[in-house]
Amino acid sequence: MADDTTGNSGRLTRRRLLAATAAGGGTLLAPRALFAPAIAQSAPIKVGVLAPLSGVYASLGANKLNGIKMLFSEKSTKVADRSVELVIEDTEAKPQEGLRKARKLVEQDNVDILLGVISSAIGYPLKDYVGRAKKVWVTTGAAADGIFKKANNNPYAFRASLSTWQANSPMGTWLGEKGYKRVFTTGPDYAMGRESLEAFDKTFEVKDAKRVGGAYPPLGTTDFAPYLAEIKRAEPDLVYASYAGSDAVRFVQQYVSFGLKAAIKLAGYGYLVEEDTFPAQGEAADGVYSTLNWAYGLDTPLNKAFVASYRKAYNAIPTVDSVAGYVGAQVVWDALNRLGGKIPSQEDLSKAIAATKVDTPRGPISFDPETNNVIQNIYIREVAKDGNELHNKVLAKYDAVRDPGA
Amino acid sequence: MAEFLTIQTLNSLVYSMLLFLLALGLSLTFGLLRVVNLAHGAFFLLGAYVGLSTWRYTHSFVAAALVAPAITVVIGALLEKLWLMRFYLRAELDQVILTFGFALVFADIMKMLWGKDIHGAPAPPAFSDAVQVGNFAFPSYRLVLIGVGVTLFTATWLAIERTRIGALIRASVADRVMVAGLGFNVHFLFTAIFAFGTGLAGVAGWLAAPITGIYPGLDFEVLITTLIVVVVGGLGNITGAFWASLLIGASETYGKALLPEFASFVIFGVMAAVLLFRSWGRDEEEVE
Amino acid sequence: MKPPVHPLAKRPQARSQWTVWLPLTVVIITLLLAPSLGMSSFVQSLIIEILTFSILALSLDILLGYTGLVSFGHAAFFAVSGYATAILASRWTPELLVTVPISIACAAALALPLGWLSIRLSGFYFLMITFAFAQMIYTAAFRWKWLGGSDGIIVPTPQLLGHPVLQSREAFYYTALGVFGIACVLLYGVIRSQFGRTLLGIRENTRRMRALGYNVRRYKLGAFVIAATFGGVAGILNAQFNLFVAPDSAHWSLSALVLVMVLIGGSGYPLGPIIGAFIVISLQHWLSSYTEYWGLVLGILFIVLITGAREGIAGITAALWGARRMS
Repeated sequence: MADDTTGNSGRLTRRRLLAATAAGGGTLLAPRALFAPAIAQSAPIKVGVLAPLSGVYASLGANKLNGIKMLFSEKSTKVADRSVELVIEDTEAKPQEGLRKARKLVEQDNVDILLGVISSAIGYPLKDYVGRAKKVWVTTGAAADGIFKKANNNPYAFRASLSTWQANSPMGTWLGEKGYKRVFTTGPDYAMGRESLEAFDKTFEVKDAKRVGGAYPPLGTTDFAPYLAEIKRAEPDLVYASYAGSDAVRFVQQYVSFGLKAAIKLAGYGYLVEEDTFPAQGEAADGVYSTLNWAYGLDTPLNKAFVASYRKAYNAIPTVDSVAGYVGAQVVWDALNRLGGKIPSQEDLSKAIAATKVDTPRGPISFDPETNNVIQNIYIREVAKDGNELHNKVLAKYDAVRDPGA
Repeated sequence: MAEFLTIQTLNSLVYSMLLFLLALGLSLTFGLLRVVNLAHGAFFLLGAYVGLSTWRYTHSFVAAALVAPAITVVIGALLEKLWLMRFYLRAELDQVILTFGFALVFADIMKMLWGKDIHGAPAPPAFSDAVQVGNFAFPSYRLVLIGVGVTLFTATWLAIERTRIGALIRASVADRVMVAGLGFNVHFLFTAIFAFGTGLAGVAGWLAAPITGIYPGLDFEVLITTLIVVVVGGLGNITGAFWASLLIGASETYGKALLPEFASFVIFGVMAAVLLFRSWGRDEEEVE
Repeated sequence: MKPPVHPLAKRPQARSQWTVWLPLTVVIITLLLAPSLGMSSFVQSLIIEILTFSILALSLDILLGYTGLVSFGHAAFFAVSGYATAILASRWTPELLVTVPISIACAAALALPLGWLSIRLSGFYFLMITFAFAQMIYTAAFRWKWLGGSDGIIVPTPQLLGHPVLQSREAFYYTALGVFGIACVLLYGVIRSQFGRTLLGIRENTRRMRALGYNVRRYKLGAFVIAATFGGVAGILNAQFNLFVAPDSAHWSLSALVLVMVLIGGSGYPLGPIIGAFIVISLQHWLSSYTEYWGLVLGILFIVLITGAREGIAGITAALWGARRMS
């Protein structure tokens, strides 16, 4: 059984978080410490961070926050002569509370830019809000396809994470090319589950490959046995699953314990087998294919450095959410730097973000001007043993995948 | 087709026994003490976490299965002695709110102690493989659960209906003053019953963990399902809880297989139907 | 034949008018003047939320405090009217003169069958069945695409007689205040009427009321529908304020939150739910900036309340007031 990673929780470093690493780089940021540098003359740049720190997505939010904090503690804490101040608020992964906190950050704390949000249910209304409030927002989650489309594009909202379509579409092509012909798709019955499977279907079902069945259990299903029996009955040569979190843990475990893994190849949307599910899934996850915009084992200098620093700083394994936070923060920092620390107006900030072309632990990214969605690499991964840990290694790469935003 | 039916019937039996394991503790507490313990899910999860930590330390499934209920029994007894016992004569709603408050408190404390990540629990090594049913592999641990559920039901039922202690318990619930007057320590009995209920919840948490996983939020998911089972079975009637588990287990399993669109509504629909059937033609206060 | 005068009719009402209307009027006038005295737009948004949830809590109290029915599914009506608004506004017309009446009607219409079924139960069973109905609505909202699914529905800017309205925070603020004032007047009217006092009798002793010849079920259903209707009003306000609806608005955690608002403030007291809404929202907002263990605080609140302060803040205040007057 892998290590007991409780390092991400418990430490309450909240609210006013100053990227004030006086001595030694890479140290963790002090809670509620106020940094009053003798040198800096101008007011700090305030970055409002929205993350789910309690509630359903608490562990994802914690990872995301770690990624964000790490970026700001790695880079210089100052942009030009201004220090960067993080104001962190908890969305509880609920729209009512999330919007309330967004209003607080924008209207009361007067932050210069908003960063964060994981839940798509918050993403939809928040995009409208920032459009009305004219405040730039870079999201590190909110992957629902509909949030960033050509039709509802506004210059203030940017998505640095991914769209569900973007991640799942290449997988259909790849698995089709690998020779699978009969797929059974399964995922939780809500937006993310459905969207991911639809995207996969479209690229898989070409030529003579087809879908022989589907099952969409309610989110939070404990017992997948009836569905597994269905799968067996349909006799596919491939099962494509888009579960996440505890559903992913249970599905993969039960898939193995019912003997299906030996007979039918399992593949899925990246969250099915990610670094945060491995401790619970154990051996069951070995050999499963998946698709996502990052892999722990991605062999680039930037990623290797990121993984090493993260493990050292937090004594925990980084997950895709940690990277998402880190990259989101990178985008913000990069834009602020290009502006020389001056933000004459939100429109200037928006243009700066739109012009982003930066290399990240996930590979190079930029923004699509028509949708403000990120253009990035998508990786096909396979779970493999790395020493006595399980990690995702990269099997294939799709460069510069762009969500059409139709 | 026959094989499909066999598999789904087995699935429904397993799911039913899982439900029954969860529901037994709650049903007992309400049936005997007339207390609705909304912290039941929290005790379930606590048992799972304690079991997990014990397992990590000892690598023994059985040791964990003993320590988990031990801890939940102690905490349940403390809760009852220090707080709950003052609420026996108060309105039902008050107990509900009190135990709900404790459920929220326990949930956050567990988050502080064990973190927010998802954990998996192993099945005991003797039962981690699969058994061939037709040309379908069925995990043997699930079959074991069926046995455990039936055994627990029989044992508990016998204990309550056929032993002297059971008679004492039933008597003190029916008329505590009389029983106290006969010289028995009724307070202690009540504490013991409540603690037994929470102990059952704790052991159920560990036993179910190989299937459910262990993570924050599981407590309320389990609580909701358990409440429905217990309400359908008739609060306080453990035989009722047994049959209700079978009914709901079957409807959920077959519902998932045959009417996937409506699967989540099935369980609520069953409960609403049963409640209304029971209440038909009677004044609302008399529904039991 | 007129029903006989029932036991609680003789309870003095005169004093309560003072203690209710005076502070309420003071509060409303203060809130009316606040923006011109410099209340920030964010605080205005908090007040709007507090007013919205005050209406929701007041409506729940009709069931809880006055009829003695503990509903754990009140969020259902909050959600249904919000969703009706969202669906009408996004797929037909955002005209308020259309969406508001229809949304309210939806909440009331839903309350009829749900109420009719639920009032056949009492106590814990009533709690469970109201919970079950709300969960079914939540599940439907979460899973069905035509209801927006898990991602909810965006509400387009509302229009009045064809012109876009409520574009500014202040405009919405005054509107919310107005709606709140009207809701208070109507709800207090209900509470102090013959109907309201009959409800109190039902709360105290249902069997006796039935024996006295009252059609208890009809009164309970009436209370249920009234509670649902005003819950629906709160739902419309919320949907127009956030310009968004999500399945979360039907979740049991919202029902629990409203319940704690009523209990903190004091159930059965006219101002109780308003005090409760103010405390809970302020606490939730303020505390969650400092700790992620808001659940712990909420749990402790529940425990402390039910153990030591069953009557809530309004109850404690009333007791102190009464004690002072006695001395």
